[in-house]
Amino acid sequence: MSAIEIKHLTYTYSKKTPFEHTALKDVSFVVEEGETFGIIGETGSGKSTLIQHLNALIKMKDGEGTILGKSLKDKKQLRQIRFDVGMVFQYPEYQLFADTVEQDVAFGPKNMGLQKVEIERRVRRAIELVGLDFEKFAKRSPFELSGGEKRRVAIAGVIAMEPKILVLDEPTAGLDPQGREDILALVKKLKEEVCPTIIIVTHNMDEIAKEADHIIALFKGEIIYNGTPLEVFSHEDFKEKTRLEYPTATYIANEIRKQGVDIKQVVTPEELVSELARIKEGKNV
Amino acid sequence: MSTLKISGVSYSYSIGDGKTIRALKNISFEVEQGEYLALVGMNGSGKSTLAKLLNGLYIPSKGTVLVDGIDTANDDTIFEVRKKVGIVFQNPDNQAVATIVEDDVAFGPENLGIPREEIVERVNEALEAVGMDKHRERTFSKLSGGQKQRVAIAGVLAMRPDVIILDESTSMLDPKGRRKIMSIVKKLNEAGITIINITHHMDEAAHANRIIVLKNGSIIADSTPKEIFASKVMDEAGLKLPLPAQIANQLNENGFNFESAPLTLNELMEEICQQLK
Amino acid sequence: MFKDISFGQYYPANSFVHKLDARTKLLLTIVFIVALFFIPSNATNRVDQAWYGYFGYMVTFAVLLVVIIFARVPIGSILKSIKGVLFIIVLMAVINLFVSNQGEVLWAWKRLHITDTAVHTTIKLILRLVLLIIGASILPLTTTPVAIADGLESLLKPLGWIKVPIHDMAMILSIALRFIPTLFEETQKIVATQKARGASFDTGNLFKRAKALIPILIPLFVSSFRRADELAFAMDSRCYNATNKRTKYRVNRMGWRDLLAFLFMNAYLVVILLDRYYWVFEMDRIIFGGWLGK
Repeated sequence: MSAIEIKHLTYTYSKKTPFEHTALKDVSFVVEEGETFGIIGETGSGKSTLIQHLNALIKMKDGEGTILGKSLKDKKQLRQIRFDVGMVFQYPEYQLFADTVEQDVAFGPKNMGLQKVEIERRVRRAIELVGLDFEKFAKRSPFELSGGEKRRVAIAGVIAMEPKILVLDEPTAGLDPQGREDILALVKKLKEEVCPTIIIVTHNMDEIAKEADHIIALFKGEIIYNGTPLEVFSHEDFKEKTRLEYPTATYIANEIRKQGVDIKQVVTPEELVSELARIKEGKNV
Repeated sequence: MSTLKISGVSYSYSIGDGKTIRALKNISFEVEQGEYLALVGMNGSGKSTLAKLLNGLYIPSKGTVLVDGIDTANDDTIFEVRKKVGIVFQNPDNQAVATIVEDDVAFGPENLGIPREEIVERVNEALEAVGMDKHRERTFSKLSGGQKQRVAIAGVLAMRPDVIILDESTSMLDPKGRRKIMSIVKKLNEAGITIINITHHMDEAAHANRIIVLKNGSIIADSTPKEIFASKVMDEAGLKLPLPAQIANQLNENGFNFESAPLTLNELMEEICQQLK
Repeated sequence: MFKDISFGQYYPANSFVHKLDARTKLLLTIVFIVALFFIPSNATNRVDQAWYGYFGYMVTFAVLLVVIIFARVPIGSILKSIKGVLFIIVLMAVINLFVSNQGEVLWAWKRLHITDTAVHTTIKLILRLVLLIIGASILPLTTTPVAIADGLESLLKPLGWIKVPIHDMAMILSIALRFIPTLFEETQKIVATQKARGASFDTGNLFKRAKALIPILIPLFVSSFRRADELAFAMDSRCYNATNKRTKYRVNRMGWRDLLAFLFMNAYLVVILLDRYYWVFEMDRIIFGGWLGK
C-alpha cells in the first residue's frame, strides 16, 4: 500500500467569479511508505494548496486520492486522515497559544479524544523527541523560549499526535545555518522513530537534493517533473520550466562540463567532491 | 557623507525579575562612507540589537554611537541621525504604514516636512532604484515578499540616507526575492551608499568587502571575507562557511590545492577548471 | 476563501470621479445618503396609489448610473459589495414582507399574510438598501484609503482646535486599513494550523465554540503585538513625529470637477426634496398614472 496516492487533482479558487484562479491542474503522484518526498516550486506554484489537500484541510473536489488506503473523498475517514497526516506549516512557532509548553503540545492529542494517561505519555515523548528536556521545559511558557526552541515545541505539538506521515512546509525558513542543520537532523530522527513517511516542501534546492528520495516539481499548478533528485535536476530545461535554480553542486557540474570536463551528473556537494576527486586522480595517473 | 563611530558600546535589557541580559559587550568599530559591511553571528549573538543602536532606536547602556559626529543619545538631534541611517527590517509585512505602494514610500519625506514637489521627485527616484515604479499604485498587501522588501528599501531611500542597514531583510524571502534584493543592494553601494547587511546567509556575507563576526555580544573578528573564511573564526562563532568555500575545503582534502577560499561560485569554478587542466 | 472578500477595495483608474478630491467624495457620499433618506418608503394608504413613490428611486438609479459611468469602475466590483450583505437584505425584506397590515391581502396562511402594500414597501426597502450600498461603495472604489484618511483629517481639522489629535487618528485609520488584509491572511493560516491539530470550530454548544477560538485568538494577539512593535520601530526609523510641519505627498485641491460634482449631487438632493415635500407623488402620477389607467 502506498502512503499517498493522488490522481488527477485539480483545484480552482473562487470558481465562477472574476477572481477565478486554478491552483492545481491534473496533479497525479504517489508517495511510497518510508520515502522522504520533496515538493519544490516557486512561490505561488500550488505547493501550499497541494499539501492542504493531503490532510483534507481543503476538500478534494476534482480528482481522487487515498492516504494510507483511506479515500480523501470518504467523509467518514477525513477525521482519521487528519490525524494520520501531521502538518508542520511555515513558521510553526506562530501556532503556540497555551500557558505552558506541556499544555500546548497536549492540544492535538486532546482533540483526538485520547485518555489522560496516553496524552501524558505522548506529550513527554514528543517534547523529548524534539530534543528538549521535559523537566526543564514542560511548565514554562512557550512565549518565553528562543526562536529555535519555539519551533521545536510547535513540531512537538504535531508529533504528539503520532502521525504516520509528516508534512513540513519550509521547516528551516528564517533559521541560522546551525538551526537549519539541527532541524534537518531532527526531521531524520522523527522519520526513524515516529513517522516513516516525510514530505518536505521547500525552495531550498541544496537541502532537498540532500534529503529527498523522490521529488515533484510544480509550476503554475502542474507537475513538471517527477523523479529522483538526480533525474529531476538532470533536465536541461529545469530552470526554464520551473523558474527554480539548480542545486549548487549540479550548477557547478553543469558549468564545468561546458568547459569540456567529462563529469557525471551530481546533486550534492559530497557527490561533486568525490566526482571531481575521481577526475583529478585520473589526470594525475 | 557619514562615518559611523561605535566606541565601547554595551547594551543590556531587563527581562523582568530584576534580571538583565547583556546583549552587547564593549563593542568598538568604525564604518567609512561607501563601505559594504556584513555583520554575521548566530541567532542571539546581538546583531539585531546592534542594528537598532546604529540609528538611535536603542541608546547604548555604556559607550557612544556617533553618526557623522552626532551622538545618537542626544534627543534633539535624533532625527538627523535617522535621516542619515535607514533600516530595512526582517518582516516584509510589518514595515509599511500605507495601503498603496507610493504612499508608503512617501511616508519618510512627509515626516521630515519636505516640500511636496521634492517628495514626488524622491518617490519617483526611490521606486525606480528598486525597480518598483510600475507597481507604484498597487495595493501593498498584494505584493510578493520580495516586492514588499523592495518597497521597504524605497521607503528608506526616499529619505536620501548615507547608510542603509539590512536587518536580516532577506531571511523571510524565497531565493528569487533574495537574489533581487542583493543585486539592488550592490547597485546602491556602487552609487556610494554605505551598506550594513546583517545576515546569517554566508553567501550574502561573501558579497561584502568587510565582515564583522559577533559571538555572545562581542566582536570576535573584523576583516575581509577572504581572511575570515580562511580562519577558524566561523567555526568558533557557530557559523558555516559559504558553500563555495566549503566545497573548496573538501576538495583540498581530495587532491586539489586552493590557496585561498573562493568567495563566489564563479571563482570556485574557474579554480576547479584551472586545476583540472 | 477569505482572500476574495473585498473591503470595497480601491480600483485603480484615472476617471473623473477618481480625480475628485477625497473631501468632495466624502461630503457627497453624505449628501447621497441624506437624499436617499428622504425618498418616501411607502406610498399613500389609498389602494389605487400603491404603485406610487417609485420616482425617487428611479432618479437615484439614474444618478448612480451617471456616477458609475464617470467613475469607470467595473459593475462586477460594485455588485461584489452587495453580495457581502445580501443575507441581511434578504432577511430584512422577508421580515418587512409580513409585518404590514395595510392594503389588500394577496396571500395568507395561518397568522401570516402578505398585502400588496407590503410587497411595495418591501421592494422599496430592497431598492433603498441596494442603492445605498452601491452609492457608498463608490468612495472606497475610487479613492485610496490614504486619501480617505487624509480627507477625513482635513474635514475634521476644526476638531484639532479643541485638542483632538486628528492627525494621529488619521494615521491609525490608515494603518488599520493597511493591516486588515495582512491579519486576515494570518487568521486563515492559524485556523488551518489548529485544524490540522484536530481543532474543530463548528461543533458543541456556544460556550464550547467560544472556547475553541482561544487557540486562534491568542496566536493572533501575540503576532499582532509583535507586528505593532516592529511597525513602531520602522516608523521611528523613518522619522515619524520629526516635525509638526508634516507635508503631504497626496495633494487635496478642489477644482472645477469638484464644483461640477457638488452641483450635480445637490441638484439630485433638491429633486428628491421637491418630490417629497412639494410635488408629493405628482411625478409618480405623471409616470404611472396613465399606465395604471386610474
